[in-house]
Amino acid sequence: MNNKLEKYKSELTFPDKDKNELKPKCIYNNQQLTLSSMGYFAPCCWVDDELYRNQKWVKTLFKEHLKLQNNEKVEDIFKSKEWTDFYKMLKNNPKDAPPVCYKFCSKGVVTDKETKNGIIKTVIKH
Amino acid sequence: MNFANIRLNIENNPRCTLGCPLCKRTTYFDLNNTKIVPGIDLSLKDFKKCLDFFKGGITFCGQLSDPIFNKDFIEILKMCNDNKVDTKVNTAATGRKENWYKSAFSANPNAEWTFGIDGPPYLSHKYRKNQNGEFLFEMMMLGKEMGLRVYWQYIVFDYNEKYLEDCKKYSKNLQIPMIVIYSQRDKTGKGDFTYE
Repeated sequence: MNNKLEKYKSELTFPDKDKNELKPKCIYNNQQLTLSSMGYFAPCCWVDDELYRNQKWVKTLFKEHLKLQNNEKVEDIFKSKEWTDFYKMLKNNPKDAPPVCYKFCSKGVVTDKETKNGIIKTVIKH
Repeated sequence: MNFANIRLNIENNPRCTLGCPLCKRTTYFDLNNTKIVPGIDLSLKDFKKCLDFFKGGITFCGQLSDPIFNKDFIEILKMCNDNKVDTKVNTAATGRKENWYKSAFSANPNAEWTFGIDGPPYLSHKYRKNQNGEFLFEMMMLGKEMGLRVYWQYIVFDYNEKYLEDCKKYSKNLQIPMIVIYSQRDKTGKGDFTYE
């Protein structure tokens, strides 16, 4: 790890795939999709991150032909081989998922929300 | 997967006036030795494509920017309102004038706005570098007065923890719901937000 990345050590530490079960929020929890100012959709804001964008599977979603500007209809992007393969992998072969997915969507990684006396308390565990 | 009913979170431009230490924008600058995030303003033509497809609502919450800086944002808000799209805006930056907020709130009175003010407004800039917290607080109040649903989002750091209970009481008096966030990201040691 070079000096610059050393500072991001905790962000670049990933759960052991053999000890953690993947439960993708983009499949099971209505996770918001994202559209970046570069024109790319992503399954969540975590994968479209400078630290994780080059991981296997993730980088396939950022090909030129998948940009919104290069498509007449949004559905054409989600029907693409890249997007359908990504979700097939998550469902059928989760051990192959990129490390960033395990970081934010392992079974034990949760965001707790509690509302009490009009105050919404959120604990983001990641 | 049926994506049409999922909520879409749009980064509608690449700009922000803040320099929050734990923001992805700061990470981008740091890793790429730059002061510019690549990207363009979302055009009305491309936004229309999103409106035609997504039926689960739209959030404007920049990961590397703040939504208020999109050059057509008021028109975009109006399009959301005209199409009866559930609209949420998350903002923390300052740099727009009061009149701009009036226009934005009028363009979509049904939108829900969340304002990132981490602590008492005069201290929020400890984390939200360059933010005019007092002005943003006034804009949150303006939104409330204009009948919009507004939220005060408060990320808890060392410097603002002791003010949390007072701020909760204050938000209750103002009838502005508060969203309190405890993030483990502040434990990375990258930021020094200790109140001096």
